[in-house]
Amino acid sequence: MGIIVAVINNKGGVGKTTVTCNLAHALGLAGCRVLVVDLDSQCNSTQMLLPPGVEPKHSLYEFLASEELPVSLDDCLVATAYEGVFCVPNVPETAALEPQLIMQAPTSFQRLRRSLREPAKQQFDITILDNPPNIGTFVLCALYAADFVLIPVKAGSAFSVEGLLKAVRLMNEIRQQGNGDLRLLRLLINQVDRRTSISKTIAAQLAAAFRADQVFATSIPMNTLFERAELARQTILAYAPSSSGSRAFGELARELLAILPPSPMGLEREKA
Amino acid sequence: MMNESGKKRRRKTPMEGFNNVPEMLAEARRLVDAVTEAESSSEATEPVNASLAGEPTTGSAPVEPAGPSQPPQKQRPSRTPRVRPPQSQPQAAPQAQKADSAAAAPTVPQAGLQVQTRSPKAWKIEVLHRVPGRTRLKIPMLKWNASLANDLLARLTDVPGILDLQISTVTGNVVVYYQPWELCQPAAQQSLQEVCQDLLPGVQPEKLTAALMGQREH
Repeated sequence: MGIIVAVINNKGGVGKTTVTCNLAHALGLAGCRVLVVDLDSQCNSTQMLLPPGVEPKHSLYEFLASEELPVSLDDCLVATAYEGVFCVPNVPETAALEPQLIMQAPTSFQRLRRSLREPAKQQFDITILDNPPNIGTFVLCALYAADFVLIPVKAGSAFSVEGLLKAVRLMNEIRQQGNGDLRLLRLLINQVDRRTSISKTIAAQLAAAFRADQVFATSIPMNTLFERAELARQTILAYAPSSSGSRAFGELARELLAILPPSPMGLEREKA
Repeated sequence: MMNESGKKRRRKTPMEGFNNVPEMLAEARRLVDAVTEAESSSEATEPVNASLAGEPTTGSAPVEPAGPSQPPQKQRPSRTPRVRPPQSQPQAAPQAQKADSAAAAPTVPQAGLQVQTRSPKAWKIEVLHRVPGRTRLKIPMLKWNASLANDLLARLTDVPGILDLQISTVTGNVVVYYQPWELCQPAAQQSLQEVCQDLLPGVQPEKLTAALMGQREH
């Protein structure tokens, strides 16, 4: 059985989508089967991962629109441009589902869990849920469906620390209200700019405030190649494989795999 | 710099004005610890959960240093070997790393991620500075590679003749303190060969020895 990781932080711009896509690609390169579910109606993960010209027939909209499940996970899956990485794409219209989901709450918050969790865990080693920067319906759906929470924190941004605190509070509430298995995977210190003292100070404070098994040892450096890769709609591992950002995500994937037990699916593939 | 009253103006520290950051971090830590404690008090139902129930994990968690009952393996200067990771990365106890590496099989850099091994330049070892007994090297492969740095630190400090070692994963620089006569002995050569074989497959043992002793390539 695979695991499901929700990438959340209430603050925007901390790198949730960048972390999701690049980590998925790095894990794919390491031989994992990875699913990325784009829960953000800005659809940035979808844009970054899907090959150009691909028009998915189904998206998260159909997946969440009705309890009767008009489409299954297999119908929504799209192979991305990267080996081993699949995506459930999103469309901007999904934002219009929010009032409906709120009216049907709290049962609607479990919809993603019911429809996604079992098939995703059976087919994929790691499922990563990319979330919007708010505490809205889609984030709640993701937290009800996930096993773990990964919180990226932007070094140098005090607001992202505030977002971290809100995310941890929300995680604890969801644990008490229906998903008792949910827990923190690790914090990820992102966008570390070693030229600025504020970035170094917050990164050091984060590392000092948490135990070593609560923060990834790997941090992601600030690198303009991330923006250029975004412009090219590629992950940094595809756009600039020898860059420091690319190496950092490679290291992050190795660290993540080292702390997770071997997946039965991975073992089967090794035997094959 | 002086202000109007003639007093020396104090330079602002980076965290001034953001004094609530440590408090927010402490609050977040308390909440996360509450979850961990709740989990550890109840039995984990899935193996994945059990493995992440807050127990230290290999490579990223601090391990208790070896106790005083273990005899010292060799004379070292008062400075202890250390890896200097990026500021955000927690440091692991070097003696414990050594114990870990001795117990577990050596970790070869992962081949699944081609970015690490694509460029032959990454395996190049450059001598930046040398004085008798101390050499500063640049090994590009060590940049942002904390796991390789930790493994290399643990293995190289066991090599006879290497007295002390400091690695920075930010710059990829390694400072080696060594005894030249001891580093030329067959035992040291054998150890270095094993280190190259296990951790630095793109580096020839004789080149590593020469670099450690500060001999530049011509």
